[in-house]
Amino acid sequence: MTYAAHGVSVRIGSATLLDSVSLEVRAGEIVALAGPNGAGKSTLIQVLAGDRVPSAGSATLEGRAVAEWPRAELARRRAVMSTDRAVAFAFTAEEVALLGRLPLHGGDPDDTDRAIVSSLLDAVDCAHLAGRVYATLSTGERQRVQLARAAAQVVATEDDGPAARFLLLDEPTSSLDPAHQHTAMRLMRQSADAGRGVLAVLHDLNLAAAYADRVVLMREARVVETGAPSDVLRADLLESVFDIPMLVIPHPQLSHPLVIAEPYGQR
Amino acid sequence: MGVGAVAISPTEVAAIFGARLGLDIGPAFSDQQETVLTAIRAPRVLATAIVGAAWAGAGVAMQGLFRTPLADPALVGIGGGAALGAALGTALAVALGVVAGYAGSVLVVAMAFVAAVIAAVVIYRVASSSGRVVVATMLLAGIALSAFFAAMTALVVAAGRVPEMGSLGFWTLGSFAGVVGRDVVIAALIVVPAIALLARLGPRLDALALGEAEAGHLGVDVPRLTLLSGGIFALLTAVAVATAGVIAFVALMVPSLIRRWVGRPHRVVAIGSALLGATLLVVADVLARSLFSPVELPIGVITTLVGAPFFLWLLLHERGLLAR
Repeated sequence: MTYAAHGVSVRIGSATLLDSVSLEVRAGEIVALAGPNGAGKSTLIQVLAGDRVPSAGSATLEGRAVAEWPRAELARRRAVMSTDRAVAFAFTAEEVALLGRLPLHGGDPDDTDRAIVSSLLDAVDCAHLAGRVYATLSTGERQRVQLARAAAQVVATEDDGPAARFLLLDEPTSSLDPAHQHTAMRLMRQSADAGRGVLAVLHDLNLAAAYADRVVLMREARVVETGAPSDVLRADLLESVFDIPMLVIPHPQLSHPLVIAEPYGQR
Repeated sequence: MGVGAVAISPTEVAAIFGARLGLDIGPAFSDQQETVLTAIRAPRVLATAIVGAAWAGAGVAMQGLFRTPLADPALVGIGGGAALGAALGTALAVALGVVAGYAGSVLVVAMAFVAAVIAAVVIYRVASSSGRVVVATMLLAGIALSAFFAAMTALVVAAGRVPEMGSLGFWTLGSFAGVVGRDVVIAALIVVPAIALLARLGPRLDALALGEAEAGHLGVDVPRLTLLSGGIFALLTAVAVATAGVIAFVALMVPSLIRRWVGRPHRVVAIGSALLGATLLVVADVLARSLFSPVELPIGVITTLVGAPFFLWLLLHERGLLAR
């Protein structure tokens, strides 16, 4: 019940976008993928999604190469949220989210599909936007609708069987205000608790600390460290990965660490 | 069907068709009225409706594939390519001596289709970069392609000196004046199944609105969808052009109106646009032949007079949808 990358390398000309990267997402856990811009996080998501064929290594879902999965079957097992959030034409937010159910209904959404989408729009605090034209929404609102769409794709109904489903999310919280960042993370947590595996590219290390089961830290096309948030989010490691002084302290009220990047020139 | 140089009232129309079915209903009519109605007007109205549906369907397929409401095969040179192909096809049909039969008509449509496919591939290649169509590039490439094909058509028409080939005005502004029953049969046999297939592709085109990669994530076979919807709009454009020349702006306007009035899902847009396109073009043709009767306007004059301002309005009001 895993989604994995095995020694994946992606080279374009002389540029190395991924250098023998391995990673595993298990059903029921949230894995946060963090690292500086250009570290290869989005490329890794693309390889896992099946959009990009690696120069070496492979991406697998339950041991079977992603490229060998029949398209329609793969779409019922994993959803992808990319950073491209434009939608052509004046589709409403609800219509966009309902497209997430397309692999399951094939064009004729039924009441179950509508109910799933409506509860997910509610979960990302977009119920009031359901009838609005998607293209008129703010960046953060679009991001929440797209998260609901991706989540809707991997909600299994009774006749879908017990197979594990996965969410591959590229920066799902990047444009969200603090409250909605937590709304989004809560939805991921609920998905994971319901048995789905979640891989999310996150820039906010405190969100990773609070919600992720494991953190994968990347830098310069490689995985630097993988492990529990408390093991990976160490000041020395983060400083070397992000090139900025970092303060990591225990959260005064909760059990996870707090990460604070320090202003330049203050230390 | 009653409007034109020979006036036939609606009751006379009913009476003529009634007489054909062996019924005696309503007023007396002249032989001339009967001939005009059954050999000219009825095929003309049917052809107009089918061609209207074809242009509107071509618009839906092209807009869906190019992911913009600003696509119209008639405006970006695909109609022009089809016109060149159809003109060449006509010349070939004349040379082969089949111009007045089904073989000739099919040959003309086939040549128009090949040319439309070439034009469509050129536009798609030039306008798309990494899975996304740049609308401005599509329109600019369309200007060049339209001008090129218009010049080529003028050249072929002038060099060919074949009266059956029609005038440059016919190919670039369109007319239903020369339509015969054969055209209606061929157009109907192509347009109806093509629109039905387009409606079937509807949910996949909806997914494509999210982006090519995103549609792929939803299990859509994007290369196949591209091939099918591209083939559909090239075919619909070819049939429309072979029947009545290039009629601009129907493909642009109708899908936008349906999206606004009825709904966005492509299945709805495909069927609604076919019906509305048919209706609008029949109305436009009535205007074309009655406004300055007995002189007949090219039908493209009517559609352009309405469509060009609509295009500008679309540019102005849907800027937010276009700036991506």
